[in-house]
Amino acid sequence: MLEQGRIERAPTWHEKDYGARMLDAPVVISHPTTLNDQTCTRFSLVGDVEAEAQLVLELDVYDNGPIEFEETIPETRWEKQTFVVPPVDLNFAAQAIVSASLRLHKRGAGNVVLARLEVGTIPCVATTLITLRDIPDGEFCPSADRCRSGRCEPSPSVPGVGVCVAP
Amino acid sequence: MRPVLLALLAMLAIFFASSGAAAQTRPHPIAYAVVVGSNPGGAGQQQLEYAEKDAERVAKLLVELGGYDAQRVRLLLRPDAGRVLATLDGLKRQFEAHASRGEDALLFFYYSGHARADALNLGAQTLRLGTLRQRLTALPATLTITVLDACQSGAFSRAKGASRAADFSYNSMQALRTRGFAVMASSTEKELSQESDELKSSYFTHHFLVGLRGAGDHNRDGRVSLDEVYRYAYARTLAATARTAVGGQHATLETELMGQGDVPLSYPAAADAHVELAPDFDGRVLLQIQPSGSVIAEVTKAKGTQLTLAVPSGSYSATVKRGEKAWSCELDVKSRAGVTLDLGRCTAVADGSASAKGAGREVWNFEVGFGFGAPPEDAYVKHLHTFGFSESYGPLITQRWCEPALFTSGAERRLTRGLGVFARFQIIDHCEFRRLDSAEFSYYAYSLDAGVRGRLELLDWLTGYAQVEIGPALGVTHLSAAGTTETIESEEANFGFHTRASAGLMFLPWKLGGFFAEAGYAYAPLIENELGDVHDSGGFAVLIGFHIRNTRTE
Repeated sequence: MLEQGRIERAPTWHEKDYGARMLDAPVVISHPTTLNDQTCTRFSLVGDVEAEAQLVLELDVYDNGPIEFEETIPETRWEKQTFVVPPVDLNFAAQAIVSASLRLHKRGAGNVVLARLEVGTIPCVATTLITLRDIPDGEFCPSADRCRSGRCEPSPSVPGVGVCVAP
Repeated sequence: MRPVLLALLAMLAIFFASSGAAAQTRPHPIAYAVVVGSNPGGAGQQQLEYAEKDAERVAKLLVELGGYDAQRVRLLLRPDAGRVLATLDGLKRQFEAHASRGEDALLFFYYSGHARADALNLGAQTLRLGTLRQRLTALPATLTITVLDACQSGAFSRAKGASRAADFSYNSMQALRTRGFAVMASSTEKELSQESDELKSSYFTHHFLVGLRGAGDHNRDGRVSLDEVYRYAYARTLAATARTAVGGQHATLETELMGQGDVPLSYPAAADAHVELAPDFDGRVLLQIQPSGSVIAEVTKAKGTQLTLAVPSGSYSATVKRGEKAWSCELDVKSRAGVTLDLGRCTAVADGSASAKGAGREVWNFEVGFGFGAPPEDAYVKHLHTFGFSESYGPLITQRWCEPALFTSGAERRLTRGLGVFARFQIIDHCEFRRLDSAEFSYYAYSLDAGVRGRLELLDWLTGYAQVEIGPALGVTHLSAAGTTETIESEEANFGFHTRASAGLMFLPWKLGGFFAEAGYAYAPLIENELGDVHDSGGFAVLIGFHIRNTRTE
């Protein structure tokens, strides 16, 4: 979904098989996804990306503004690029999942035409996990300092797990 | 002096006695004939058209003009080897009986059919020449005359082939020092013998029979000897076959007559009826029996001598050709009479209606085939995969290869025995792809090539070839995609070229042709995408199909 800026239809390998050109800057398109602490998120892209475009893959856990993970898309000319997003740290709430938004953020003036975007999960053993901070109200929390509200109370429905609550 | 005078008188008596033989109707006091004809070939041999008919004609002429008793002529059509040998064994007792009574007995053995180097091919069976020789020499005949018109399958004119003459006669001579023996063969050991569709006979047997009808009577004594008919058949067969694609055919004769003298084979002077060509007549005459159209004689005559052909009474048509002019004549030959061919009573006809001499020559060939291709997986195809397309599955495909959809159809013009040119239309590439979003993409590639083909005949029925070709090519792509707001249908044409080098084998067991199989590698940079990738529609390809021969009579 287009969150910011403008896009237009553009030819790819075939003049009638269209992709999306990101016009001007900034341009942001997003795709909702879910995360857990067991699997990595795989993001693949086929496109024509110039380095000057400063195209960045961003992950916004809870889709609430702060970017928990980002990676710059290198220059590519219609080759498939694959990126792996590590799991989130949810050891305080086993088997929980959280919502997130994957975004492609064009920050520069270079040309970007996107043909194919794929999002999926893959099993992985990650050495680093994404630490959750600024957790919104109603979401599980390990401690009060992780909550946006500064309050983490025991969950009434899941024993042994905290949940952020309004101050 | 008296003994000398008596001896001279005796010699004169013998001379006049032998001269009187010119009028006798029996070539030998007792004469047997075994006449064999077999059209079928063995493995890889093309069925002959006229071998059995030739045998029938030979048997009939031996009775008609050779003075043979019909009861002593054994005609074997399409026999197996056992029957041939049994027939010879059956004659052994009779020859022994004649020998015990001090009677001379002659055997005439004729064979027309397929042969290989050391055996006659009687359909699926073979009769080794050594075995046949042994059986023939075992017969206590005073004189044995063997005529072999043996064949192997070959090109369009059903080339016959055998090297049996030298082998047969050489070995025979060693064992036949005590009796007369002659072997006449239709070609040398390194040549092929041929049939003619125009004559409806093998060239050799046709001219052998025409010679016996009187055309071979060189000394005009009313009878045709073994030597005379050989010389006639040799010259006429060679002249007739020199212009065929298979090449000139030299008849051979080897004799060991041991005092038999000049052996008469036919007595045309004693025939029931004659067709005569006057001394001032010149030209080529094709004499056909009516209404069947069977060719009874084809002769070429020069001015200066009279030619008398012994024929059965009946109706005949004669086609005469002299230079560019031609005539058609109807002849009614009555019993105990002769008819002189008179051009004044013939009708001039268009040149083309006078059938010219010669066997069919392979000129045009046609081919149609199908194939399996493996175009290289180049950047064009890889990008299709990158953009989410996968090859569609077909009945014989894998994920990686496209459907085998090669097709070829073309014609070849033979320039020489070993060289030809060809043109052909081909589908050289085809592939279909699908994507998860229901988009479909496909391409076809076509070429129209001209090429040069070199041939090498490995066997009569097997030819190897190598060729190169090049021509313009067309690639057509089709994309269809159903989006949320619109449906896209796009077809594009790309032009380029196609070139291929290939080699193959032709299996040609039949007159009409057979099969071919070839493999080669092609290059056809043809279909291009928006990214600058050009797909090569060439690569490795295998083609199999039909090769159809078209022969032309000259």
